[in-house]
Amino acid sequence: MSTGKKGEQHGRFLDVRIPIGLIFTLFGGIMVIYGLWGGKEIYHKSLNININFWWGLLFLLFGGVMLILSRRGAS
Amino acid sequence: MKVHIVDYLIIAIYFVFVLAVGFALRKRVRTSDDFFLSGRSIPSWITGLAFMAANLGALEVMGMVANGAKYGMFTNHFYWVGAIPAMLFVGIFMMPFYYGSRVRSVPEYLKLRFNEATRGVNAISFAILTVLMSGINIYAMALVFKLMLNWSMDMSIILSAGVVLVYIFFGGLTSSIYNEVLQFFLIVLGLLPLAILGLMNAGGFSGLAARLPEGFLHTWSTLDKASHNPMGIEWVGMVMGLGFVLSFGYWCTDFLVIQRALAARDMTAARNTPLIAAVPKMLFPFLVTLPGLLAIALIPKALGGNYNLALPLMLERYYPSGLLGVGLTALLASFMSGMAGNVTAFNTVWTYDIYQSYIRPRGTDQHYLWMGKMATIVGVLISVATAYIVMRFSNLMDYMQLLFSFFNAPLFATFLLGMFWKRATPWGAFSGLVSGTLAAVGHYLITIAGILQYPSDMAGNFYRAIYAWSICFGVTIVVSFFTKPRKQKELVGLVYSLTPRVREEGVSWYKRPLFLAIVIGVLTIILNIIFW
Repeated sequence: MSTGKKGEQHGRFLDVRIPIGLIFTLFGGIMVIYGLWGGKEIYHKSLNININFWWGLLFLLFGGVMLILSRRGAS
Repeated sequence: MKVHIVDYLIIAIYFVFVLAVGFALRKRVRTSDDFFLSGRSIPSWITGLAFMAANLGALEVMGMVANGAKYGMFTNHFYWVGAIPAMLFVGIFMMPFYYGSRVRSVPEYLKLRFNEATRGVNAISFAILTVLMSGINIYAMALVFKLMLNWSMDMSIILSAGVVLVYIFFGGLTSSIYNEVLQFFLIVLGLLPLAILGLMNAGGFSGLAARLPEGFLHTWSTLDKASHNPMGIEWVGMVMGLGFVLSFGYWCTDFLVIQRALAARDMTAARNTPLIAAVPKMLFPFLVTLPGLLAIALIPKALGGNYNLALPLMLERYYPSGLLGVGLTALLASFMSGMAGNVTAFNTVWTYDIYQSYIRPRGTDQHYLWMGKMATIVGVLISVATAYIVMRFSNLMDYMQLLFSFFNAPLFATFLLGMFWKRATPWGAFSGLVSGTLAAVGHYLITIAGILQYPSDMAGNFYRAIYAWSICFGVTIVVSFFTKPRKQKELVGLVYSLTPRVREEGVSWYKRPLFLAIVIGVLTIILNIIFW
């Protein structure tokens, strides 16, 4: 993915990985915080798994990877 | 359904983001080429995911979960038979002509290959198809939001259509494609916990199997006779109707998806676009059919035979607040990507193939850019109007396949002959296309009059597609023998036998289209065998 053409294109276009990275980091953050400090009784729905915390963590990881990739692509 | 402030917060953030992407891209749109084709500069993984997401309308997601609950693993035919083979075909064989001839739209290809009249017929019928389809998407989404958030139908329609309008108006196709990639990830990651939690609750795959009706885990073994499966179709109708005509008609000729590939930055990227899209498409049954199966196994009472509600009901059952906001956002995203795909295809075909061709041929580029923006506004407004018309139809999935059997099925015969038979003549194509479409209309009329009868509407759609395709194919060949073909030198780059093969030197072997296509093809066959 690091051909000369790609460099040109970075000058012209917003890197799509930035908005994806940002939105998943933000969603992940909200879910983790809500999972940690929100009420716990809602998790009987999700088989007593704190799905907000765990899935939020996964979102954070995914968002982070996207942001790191976009930094690497830009440099 | 109990929706908390945290869920609304997540939905609100999503709205802000899609608008921001459109706004951030507004300065990059200077020419009509930027607006309609993204300046042909986008890498293949982005166009590939957008290709996939443009097809992932709300109806696709909700409808396939509903089909999963109704027909079981049989639904997977829509993916492994009804999509993958055609996606591989368009990438390997057809993209060299679409991308290589530098056309800006599918109707424009028909003009170069055949004549103005054939293009005109296709441009007008395609413009009608896109606004009807986009109206279906709006309606489906408004229905969900009324159901889940208790928003009024009008408010859901206006809000969602308004957001799509703004981001396309500012950022054109690029904005639509970027949002589609974002929407793709939201749909996948937002709906995946449903399959995981459901499977855990059912006690794994074997636990699920024990709770399902006979035959729900099979795809092919009930296809020997129409009476053996709930769709009322045997393998000939399935393979020829869905697998060949409807599927190839959609993936190979529908400008909504082709447009994403035309935005790719080079020929290899364009050819890889449908192939990259085929990878998630191949795995999508685990995201949609599986929750449908889980719904019938775990919440049969709540479902009560109302299959269309399978997805919302499953979300309500398994998603606590927080994740629920993400799940609702995923649904919202699927609606917006489906609608945006239709609107960008509509504004391009209207501006290039109707306005520039018939109304004002010699305008400046800035004028066409302006017209594209106006067409975006008008396209959204007409879609909203059609949404209110669609409200009168009961089964949306059947309605969608009905439209495809009218418009896409005969068109695929025109393309097949156009690209692979140099003797096909302009007037042959024109008369074939017109008579194929009329045949579909005629077949529909005698079906609703009760003269022809099918076990299900879907079976009727499959057979209508086969007839429309065959008549277009036959009439084109016969008329071609009596009319004058175009000179061979005019057809270079448009017809297979007259075009030099694409050379892919300097492309690593694992990025070559043929290699990707073989890998995906083999994996799809394995999936079919596992769930035989």
